Amino acid sequence: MPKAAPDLPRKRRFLATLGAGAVITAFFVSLVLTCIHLLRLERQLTPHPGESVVWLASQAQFEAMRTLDVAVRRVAGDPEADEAAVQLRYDLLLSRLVVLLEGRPLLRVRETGLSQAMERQHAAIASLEPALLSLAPGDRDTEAALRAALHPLAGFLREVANRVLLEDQRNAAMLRQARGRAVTEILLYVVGVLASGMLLMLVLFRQRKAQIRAEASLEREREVSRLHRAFVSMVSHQFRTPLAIIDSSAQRMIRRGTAMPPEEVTARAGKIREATRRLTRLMESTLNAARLEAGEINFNPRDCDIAALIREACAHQRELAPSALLEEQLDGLPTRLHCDPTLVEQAVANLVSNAVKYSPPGAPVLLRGATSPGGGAVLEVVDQGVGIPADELGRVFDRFFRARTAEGVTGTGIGLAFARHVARLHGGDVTVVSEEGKGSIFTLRLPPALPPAWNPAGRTEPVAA
Amino acid sequence: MPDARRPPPFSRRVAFGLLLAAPARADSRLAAPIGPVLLSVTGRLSRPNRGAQADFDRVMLEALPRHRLDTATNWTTGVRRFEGPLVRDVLAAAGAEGERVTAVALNDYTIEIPLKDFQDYDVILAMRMDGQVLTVRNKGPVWVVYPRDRHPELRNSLYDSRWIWQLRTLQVR
Repeated sequence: MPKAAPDLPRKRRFLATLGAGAVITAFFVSLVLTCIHLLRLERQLTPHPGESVVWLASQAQFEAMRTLDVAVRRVAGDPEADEAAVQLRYDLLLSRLVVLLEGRPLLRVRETGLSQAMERQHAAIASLEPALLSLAPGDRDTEAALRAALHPLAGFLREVANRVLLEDQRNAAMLRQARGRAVTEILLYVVGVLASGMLLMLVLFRQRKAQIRAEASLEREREVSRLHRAFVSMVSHQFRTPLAIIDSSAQRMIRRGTAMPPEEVTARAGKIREATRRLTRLMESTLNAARLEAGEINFNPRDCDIAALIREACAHQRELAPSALLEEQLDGLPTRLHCDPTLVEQAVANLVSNAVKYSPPGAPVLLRGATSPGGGAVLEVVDQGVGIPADELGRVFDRFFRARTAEGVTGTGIGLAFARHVARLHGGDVTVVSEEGKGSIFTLRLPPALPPAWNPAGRTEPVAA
Repeated sequence: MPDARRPPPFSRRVAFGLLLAAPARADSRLAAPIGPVLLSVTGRLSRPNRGAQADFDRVMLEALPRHRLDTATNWTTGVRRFEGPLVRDVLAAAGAEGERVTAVALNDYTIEIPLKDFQDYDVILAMRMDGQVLTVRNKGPVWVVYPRDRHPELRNSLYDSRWIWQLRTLQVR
């Protein structure tokens, strides 16, 4: 097997996995970074009342107007607008201005560029203190001076509020834009992660498939090697005995030479012939196995007389083993069946010789034919032989497998596998029930007509058997 | 403000009632103020000193256990040292009972605060900042100060709005 060929795609697959992984990681890192960015933006978007300079400015404006109002009332002689009331309003106004000149509010005022003007406004209001606190009813000049200071203050505060508001709106718009961008980026990265994840999954899936294929082919190789070992072991066992018989008989005949009586010569020659026949059978069987292995079995189904086929197989068996007791009950079989006569005869012969081989001398083997409800052929081969251990029942159709109870009996472990293969070629099967020490029943089932898939060429024209 | 609307569980209400009631048994009547009134507590009181309300002048507020709180604020620069009585001590001195107060400032700014705040946190009525007496011109004479530096959960707009300065009245409900 060329070694370089599978290496190239494996390397490519590895690179693909690495690439997809890197892409996913990159997308994921980007996603996390963008999420952090978005969180930071969200925090900036959170409103902060401490910074709501607009509100503070409006409060200061309100206090400016109330201070002016109480001063006007004081000048007009309103009894409620006493000194304490003027002082309180003035203090409140000052406090409102001071608030804008420290802490976070000051930072915001600075951003508008009005902080120095704010200081000047505050100084101007602070300088009003002596005039305000000594304000007496009828003091029109001071009232005019107060008006001249407080009105511009109110206007100035409105300007501060205005600028801060505009600045806030601009910031908010920018933040919204940035957030929109971040959200879009996140969506892109999510899509990227998903897409590269899918790519990675595809790559992994294909790798897995290739791996499964490789494992299957490895398993096939192992199976072949196992079969090979089983075959070698079977051949060395099975071929040795007949060869030894031939050899010893020939030796005896050579040693005795002409001193051997003609009857013994005949007996020895018979033994040699018998051993030769066994060897021939073994060879045919192994050839069958080889053909089975190579898929070289020709399958030529045609209409034929199945009962006649079986009888032929039995006759052949009797020829091989004249002592065998074969009992045929074949009347139940369908008269005609569409099948490959050569293969079916061989399969039946295998089943029958198997039954005879594992039966003690004098035990009959029964062949019982029947017709299945669908019109197919069912042949049961019943023996009273050694039987098959229950734990090995599932393996008797494996090639070269021989049950424990088969020890000491010549056999290749191919016959049953071949019979089942033939039955399955026809769309049927061979099954077995057995009890150790009591015997076995092998059942061959052949369907009436081949399923369409079995005969795509449509070679259905009947050929006379 | 879900906190303000939802009444606290019964056990807490009882506990808070007992907490407030404890000094009431020791001294059943609150002394009347001598100087100018800085703070009035109105509403459900067991120890009023003028009509149905309890008035406090500077001396009375400073006679209560003084609490010191170092914290930054949204309206000042850097960490400042605030001093004044705990809000819960002032309410206890007035024998106040309820679930929330409406705090009103000199400029009529009004905010509702659940009493639970004063029980869960050492909120003070600050009367001095960095040792200087707070005046009306500088958020005084009474400023509600939360220990925001010690409790991160207090650093949000909900609690920021409760930092009422120039506090004048606490209406207990």
